[in-house]
Amino acid sequence: MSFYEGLLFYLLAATAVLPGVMILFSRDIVHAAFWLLASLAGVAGLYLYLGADFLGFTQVMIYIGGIMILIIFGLMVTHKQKISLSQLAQKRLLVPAVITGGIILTALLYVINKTTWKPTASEEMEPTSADIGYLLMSDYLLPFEIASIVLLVGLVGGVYIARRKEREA
Amino acid sequence: MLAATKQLDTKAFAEFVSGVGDSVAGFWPEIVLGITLCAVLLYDLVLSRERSKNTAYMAFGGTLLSLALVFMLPSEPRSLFSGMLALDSFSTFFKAVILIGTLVTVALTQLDKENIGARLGEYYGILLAAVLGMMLMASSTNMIMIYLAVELASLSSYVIVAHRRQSRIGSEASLKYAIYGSVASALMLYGISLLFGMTGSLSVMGLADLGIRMATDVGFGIAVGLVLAGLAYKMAAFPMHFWVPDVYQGAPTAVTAFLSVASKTAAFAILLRFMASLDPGSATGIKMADGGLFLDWTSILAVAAAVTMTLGNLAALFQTNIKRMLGYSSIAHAGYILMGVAALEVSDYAGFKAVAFYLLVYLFTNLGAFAVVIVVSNQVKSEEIEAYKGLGTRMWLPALLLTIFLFSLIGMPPTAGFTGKFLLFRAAIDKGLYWLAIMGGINTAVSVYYYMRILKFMYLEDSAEKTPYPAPCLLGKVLTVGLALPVLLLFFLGAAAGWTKNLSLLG
Amino acid sequence: MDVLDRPEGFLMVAAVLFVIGVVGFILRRNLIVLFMCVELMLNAVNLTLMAVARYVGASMEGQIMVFLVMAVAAAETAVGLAVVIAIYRKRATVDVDDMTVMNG
Repeated sequence: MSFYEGLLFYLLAATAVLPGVMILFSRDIVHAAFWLLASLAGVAGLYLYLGADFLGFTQVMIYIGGIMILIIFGLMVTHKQKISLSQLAQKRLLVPAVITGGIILTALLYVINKTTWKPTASEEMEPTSADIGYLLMSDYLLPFEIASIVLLVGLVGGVYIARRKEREA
Repeated sequence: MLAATKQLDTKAFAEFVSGVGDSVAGFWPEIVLGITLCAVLLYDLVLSRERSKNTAYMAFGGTLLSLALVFMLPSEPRSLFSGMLALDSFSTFFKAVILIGTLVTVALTQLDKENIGARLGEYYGILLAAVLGMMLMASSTNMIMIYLAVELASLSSYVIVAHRRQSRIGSEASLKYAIYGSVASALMLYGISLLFGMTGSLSVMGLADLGIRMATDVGFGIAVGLVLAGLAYKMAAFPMHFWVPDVYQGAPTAVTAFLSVASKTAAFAILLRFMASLDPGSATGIKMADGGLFLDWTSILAVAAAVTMTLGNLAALFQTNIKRMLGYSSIAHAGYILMGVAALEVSDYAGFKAVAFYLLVYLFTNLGAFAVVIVVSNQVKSEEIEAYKGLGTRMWLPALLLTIFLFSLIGMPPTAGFTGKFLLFRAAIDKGLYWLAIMGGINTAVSVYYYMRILKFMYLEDSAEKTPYPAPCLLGKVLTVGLALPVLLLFFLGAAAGWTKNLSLLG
Repeated sequence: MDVLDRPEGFLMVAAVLFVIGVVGFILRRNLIVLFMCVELMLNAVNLTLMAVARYVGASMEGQIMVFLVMAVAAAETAVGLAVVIAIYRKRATVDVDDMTVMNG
């Protein structure tokens, strides 16, 4: 582990976390969406850093290419120009939110640092897509098929709910 | 189990293909359901030229076929699809319960006058997808499979809750259900990933060894707690019960009925499988600091049960909308059933059988109550409890049947609710959870008040109008009477509890 | 400090992301921003999953799981946003505080 690799980790971590913080504070909702985009890109970088090449690119395609477009589309449909600061955040919930967040963070950090994670030999970093395809068609065949039904429901359900009127026969 | 290899090994692949063939033999009910759901969606999209009932018949037929196939499943317990699913009498029982609930739900949808003239193709297709998800929930033994099954059931439920598109409360109910539901599933997934890191395995069975080894580990406790929180959302149990009243009120009544029985049954099936692999009888749990407080899973579940039933019952006292009231009553019942889960002892399965039997009873009882609600609102056009005034004389049959269902919800003889509650209480007492049994007793007494209030409205108060309503349609009569019969019969059969006697888990 | 040999670094980044999601979910009032916060939480969980998967030597399984979770998340967002748009059509608002037709 060289100094630069360590530095890269901290850079990627900052890319994931700092834009996340900005989502909490940004006044313009569209800006918040772009901060989320940056944060997701940071996570994609962390995947690559972990040697999960397939996942890193999937993250870019599904999240940044798909889900974010959907969200920005939703924002554009529902966005109104005049937004006062009071409409952005519920001030009265600030204290409960910080307390909840603090408790969860403490608990999670405690778990992370106290747990003895099941150790194993470290793996070589190699391209993984072929093996993943093979596993998806063998051991993980059923989850793969079920995921396709989940997507079908998402597709049909989304159209069904958002459709303007009862369809005429 | 195949290992990932660089090159396709033809021999291993041939073995794998024959393995899939074996798995498919135990997977026919789900396959039939999947084919039916695609057929319904395609039929509605391509062939349907007018608003016909054909999609309802298709959905009903497919579910019936699937139910028949469930009864024909091979009885020998085994694992399907490389350890993704378990085929055992436990999952078969719960699949049957869910499918019976679905048959009634399809009929209830046709019964509801609000749906007359609506095209229901997508609704039925997505309803069947929810059922598929719930059946997978009942048999999953791998945590990725549990997550996918829960998500399939949840996503489909969000869609069908919003089915009444013209109504404001329908989409608001769906929104609340979806937005809290995605947080709940994120929590569950967090728990799953922590458990994965601790065990190195995604199999639920792998937890068994770990549960004992890490009996006192706080991290393990938190991870399991996160998974349980996600499941509690589907069960409508504390602390994830808050969505219930709004969703139950805003959803179409048939969907409310479906969620209150099928969703709950599937979630309890996972909970039982999950807790059985943790073996709560063997004093596993969370240890707070050294030599300090020790919380075992039995106590944690018992406290959750007590809080759930108390919250549900107290809030139900003040309701004016009958669907909302039945929603709180459904929370309370999640509490009673959790009592049986807390009393789970892997060695003798006592709490196990009590839970399974109660879920079967609750299926008929609650579906029956909602069937009457639909029959009444078809005539009265209201879901307020006030509207039930004088119903005893104006609609004698539905009023009488509702009395039976409410008696069963209270747990009074001669209804199956009594037998079911008796088994749950006995399981708790056998386990030494006397305080929990007493809490359950007090709660039952409290619940008498709000169930009886409906009876008071129906029989003791007069409405201004006295003329009887026209008798319910044939479907309404058949459904309500057909659901009341098992509620009465299971009281007598329940002592034997034949169906739930031989349930066993794989692994 | 050897980041790759231990999962803790990644797990802590994920935990912070998750908590940001939770706090945003409680604080923000726009329904679509709530969905964005949920996405942030799911990403945190995915990162956790991938980090532990690599560490326990099940990198493939981890990637498959996260891949499936992403597919589900996409479907969930589609349905969620469809509901938000359906509500916006009826009431011309996407504010959390307006979602109070039912109470009691």
